[in-house]
Amino acid sequence: MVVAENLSKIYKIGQVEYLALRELDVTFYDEEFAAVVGPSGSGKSTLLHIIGGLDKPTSGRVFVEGADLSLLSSDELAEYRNKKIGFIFQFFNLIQYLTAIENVELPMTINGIDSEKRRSKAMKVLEMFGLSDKASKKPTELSGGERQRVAIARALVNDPDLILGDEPTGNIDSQSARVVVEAFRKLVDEQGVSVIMVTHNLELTKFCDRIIKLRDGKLENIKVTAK
Amino acid sequence: MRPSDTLSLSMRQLKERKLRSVLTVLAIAVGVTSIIALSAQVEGVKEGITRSLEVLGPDTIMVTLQSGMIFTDADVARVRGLEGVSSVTPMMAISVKVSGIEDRVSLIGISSYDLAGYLGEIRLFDGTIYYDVPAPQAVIGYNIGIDEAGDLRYKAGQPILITIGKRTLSMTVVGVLDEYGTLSAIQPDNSVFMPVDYVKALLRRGGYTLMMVKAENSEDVEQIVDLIEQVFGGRARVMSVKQLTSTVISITSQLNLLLLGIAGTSFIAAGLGTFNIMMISVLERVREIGILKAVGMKDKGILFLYITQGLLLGLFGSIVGLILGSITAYTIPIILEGGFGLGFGRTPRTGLGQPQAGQTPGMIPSYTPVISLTYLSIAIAVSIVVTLVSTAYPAWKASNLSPVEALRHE
Ligand SMILES: Nc1ncnc2c1ncn2[C@@H]1O[C@H](COP(=O)(O)OP(=O)(O)O)[C@@H](O)[C@H]1O
Ligand SMILES: [Mg+2]
Repeated sequence: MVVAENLSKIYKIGQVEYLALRELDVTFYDEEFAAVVGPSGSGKSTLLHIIGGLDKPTSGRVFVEGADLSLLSSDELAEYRNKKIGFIFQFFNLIQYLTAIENVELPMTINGIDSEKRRSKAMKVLEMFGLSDKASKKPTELSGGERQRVAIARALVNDPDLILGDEPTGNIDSQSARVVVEAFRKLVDEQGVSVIMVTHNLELTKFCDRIIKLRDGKLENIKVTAK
Repeated sequence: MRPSDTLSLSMRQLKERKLRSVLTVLAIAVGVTSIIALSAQVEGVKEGITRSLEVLGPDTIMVTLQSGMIFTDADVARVRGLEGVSSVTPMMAISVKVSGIEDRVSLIGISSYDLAGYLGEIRLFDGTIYYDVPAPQAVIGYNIGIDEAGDLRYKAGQPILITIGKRTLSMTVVGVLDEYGTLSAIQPDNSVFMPVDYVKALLRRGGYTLMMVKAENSEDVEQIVDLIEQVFGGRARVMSVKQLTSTVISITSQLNLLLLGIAGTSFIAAGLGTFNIMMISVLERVREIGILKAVGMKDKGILFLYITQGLLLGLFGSIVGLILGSITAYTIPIILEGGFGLGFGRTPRTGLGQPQAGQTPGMIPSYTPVISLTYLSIAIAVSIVVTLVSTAYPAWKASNLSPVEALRHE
């Protein structure tokens, strides 16, 4: 369970302050596929970054499985990102000079796992996404949909409890987008993972359990989808 | 992360920016090259001179005269009688011309026994040594017997034409010496040795142009130098091997300091270059650092990654510098000899051969460069420290960025 309490984030540029999140309270449940929607600039990415341990709030707290993220050291946060979280970005964020499989292996490499073990694990995840024949291709040789699937494979490879996707389907064709969202649904149903996905595509939210709508850094409403 | 993975990831990053990595390696290599190449020259000269002085021995004192003057047998006897003197070898040295050789060479009258002491050991390329009879027999130096192409110019048994003043005389070559290199005060390779009695008779002079004095005890050398100076007043110049050695060592260590200064400057330049390149490379990789942090790399891991890159650059720079430095070290003497041949290397220019001109013995002889382990280690250590320092700072900065800040970087 992820509980955000009284979460605020203020960006200061010179004298001007931008409030990305304003005293936001929101809870995400275990084994749930949640969608976060809202107009651009409403604080969706900021929220996801803070939950993912990539950024810190100006005030307020986030509890993940009861643990207060603000109390974690920088090394503990790194470990949290490595083992508990799988983060998927809109623009893939793959490393250009590494092959697809090396990108997928990266979280395991960082974790000190030996090369044979990580190669076979990475290959297994790539196979799940139908990418076994692209394993030795560089990201520049792949299509947008393929890149995003590689990025998802990388997010899954350390078996995280929580997958955070910041518009993971924003830059890929609708066919690939569907494949991605169906994969998330399956992970939640079959493996008990939790997924929080930011999206603009309302068509895709029908796969989700709840839809959380933000506006101006605040919670506007929560919809539970009919199953 | 495993060290082997850090290493291979660093290599991938360096390979990805090939041109830049190569330029950094070269910048570092220049510093290493200059230290190795320059110090090898100074060490080579120092070692050449000190070794040749060692051949003569620390108990040796050379006594030479101003132009036109000679030592009489009485002078020799007086020196021989001084306290602490073990032996005195009088010699006759004049500058002569040998047919087939452009430059003047030294003709040295010396007994065969003393010649052995003078050269340390007699190594012959061809023939034998002469007997001590007043006969026109000559043992010639390597550069006289063998030409630049390595072919024999004279060999044992052949006549050789020697011009002394206005007279040209034919002598018999009995032996050709091996190559000795320069023995500081004397250049055997550019000398003709003949029995001293023959040379005395030839010149119709009842004296000698120099004396080699040996002390009984090398501790007494300074005292004996004083005594000899008192005997001859200002007429003679007295030099002890001990004095020469310490002069050589002090000059070369000063030279080394100077060269280290030059090399140090080039290292500062290389260091600034490396620093600049690492800063740019970190800036370019901020996004990538963001990715690495996002998937869980710790600050320490990022720091190690960049420091490893710096170490690799320093290591490659050192290796390239080592190779270039060694090549340059051995090329410099060839350039000096070939390009500006006068006064260096094979050109005879011993002061002993030209007592008339009263010149000082040539101090820049031909030499073999010596790459000393000390300067090698200094060069490598400095280059690695320079790259470490210049990578540590940008690496530390990079490792302190928050993941989102880094990811947002364009
Ligand atoms: N680094 C930043 N500096 C200044 N303002 C920022 C920064 N990041 C986000 N913001 C601002 O915070 C608000 C929320 O941004 P974000 O969380 O990216 O919204 P969303 O993902 O919903 O589009 C926006 O007004 C945005 O301009
Ligand atoms: Mg966003």
